[in-house]
Amino acid sequence: MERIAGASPRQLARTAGGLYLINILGGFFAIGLVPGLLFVAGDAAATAHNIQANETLYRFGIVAHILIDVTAVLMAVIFYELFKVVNRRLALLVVFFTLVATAVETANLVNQFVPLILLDGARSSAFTAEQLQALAYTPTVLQGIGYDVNSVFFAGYGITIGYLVFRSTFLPRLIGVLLAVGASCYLAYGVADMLSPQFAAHLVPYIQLPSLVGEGSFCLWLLIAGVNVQRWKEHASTATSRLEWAQ
Amino acid sequence: MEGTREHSNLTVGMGSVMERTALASLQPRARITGVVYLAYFLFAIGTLFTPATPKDIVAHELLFRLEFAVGLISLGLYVALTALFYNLFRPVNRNLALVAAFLGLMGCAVQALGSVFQLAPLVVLGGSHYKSVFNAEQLQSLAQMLLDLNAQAGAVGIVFFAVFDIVIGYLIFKSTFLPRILGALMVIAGLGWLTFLSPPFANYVLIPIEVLGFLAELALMLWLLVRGVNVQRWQEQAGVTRAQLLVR
Repeated sequence: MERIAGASPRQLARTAGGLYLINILGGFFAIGLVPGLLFVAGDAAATAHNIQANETLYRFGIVAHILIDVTAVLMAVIFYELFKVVNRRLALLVVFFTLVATAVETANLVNQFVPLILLDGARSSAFTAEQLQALAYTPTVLQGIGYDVNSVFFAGYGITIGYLVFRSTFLPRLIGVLLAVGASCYLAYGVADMLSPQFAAHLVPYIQLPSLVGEGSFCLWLLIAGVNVQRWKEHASTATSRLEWAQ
Repeated sequence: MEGTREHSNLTVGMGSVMERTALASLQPRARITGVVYLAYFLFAIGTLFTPATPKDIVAHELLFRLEFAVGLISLGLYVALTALFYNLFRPVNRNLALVAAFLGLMGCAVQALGSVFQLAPLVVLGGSHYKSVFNAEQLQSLAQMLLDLNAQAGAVGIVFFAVFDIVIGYLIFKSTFLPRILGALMVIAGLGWLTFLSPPFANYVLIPIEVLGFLAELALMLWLLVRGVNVQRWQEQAGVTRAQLLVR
């Protein structure tokens, strides 16, 4: 913690940008690509077959997912350091939303091991092959529900950090707006999917684009441009001279 | 009148927007806490009518889905409330305020994860690939198992919220800016929720515990919303001097 606090804001921003890039690319692999290749909507038998035939790919998807959840926790700490000079309370709220969202997402990954266990032919089972395939398909659905659950906490994260970026003066205001809009779209999709999956299916992929633009631009800006260090230090000196009691 | 008391001594001698931002941390923000608390209450009350059996949830699917969404939004609001409580009670005892915050976050995470099992029965009961390989009774019991898992996760979460309530109650009691009776009520309510360590036992005494828990939080919410906190005492407890507020 001491060393993080001592790091320069530019280093912090670059590190967060790098972690964010891993997060986005890993997310594309684990949440987009692998399920897209292996899961066949509504077809338990084909899904079971694909998972068994590509077990290594499936397991790599889980590993990548765990890794991006780790990056999320690391980013939360860095974002706290970067944005506490803008508003310490809201910077803490960013951390809180991230922790809950990441805990839920990671714990929900346990479901992804269910197909590997159920479809393991070496284990004897009281169920027929078709029943096992149907049971093994359930986790793919639970995964989707898990993303809906997360949309609430992720939206809290995105809107809060969007506001902090907007108010920061050391990052472009536009990125703050994009982050908040992206998070709101994510929440809208999550709630729509909770209420009516059929309707929500029509929103994909357009509803996901704002979030990609918002997080993508935030990630690249942090990585390439960093933050305006002088502006950041102005914030920091105002905050510390006033708030020594609060540190 | 309360509003002016919260702001009067801070609007003097302030320069830039940045300084105002920094000074925001010297405010208890009791009103905002009350408003978020009220919003949480409204959403949480919306979850009290959840259909309980697999048959009910199929018959009232949209209602069931709506309450699922409302319940999750209430959890999202509770995360915000946890952060607001941390800021409100940090001047009393920073470590305990942090303990309360972590307990609240754990409770939210456990209940949010458990809610995945709340929506899953609809998938099991509605999916054609289940109907073709399981008979109706098997699907009903699968759905019931998922509902029970959801309830069990809810009970685990309540244990975290119970200790959260006890710690918050203690912090209120030790604070100089809120009435002690509110703290005592929260501690008693928290002790009641602790019975969820054994859900069968909690079921015996459910009604009084729920009434007590509801009243304790309602009282705190209304107090924060209507009266706020005694800002001067809060700032004294936070060690904020007038010099810090006015001079630069």
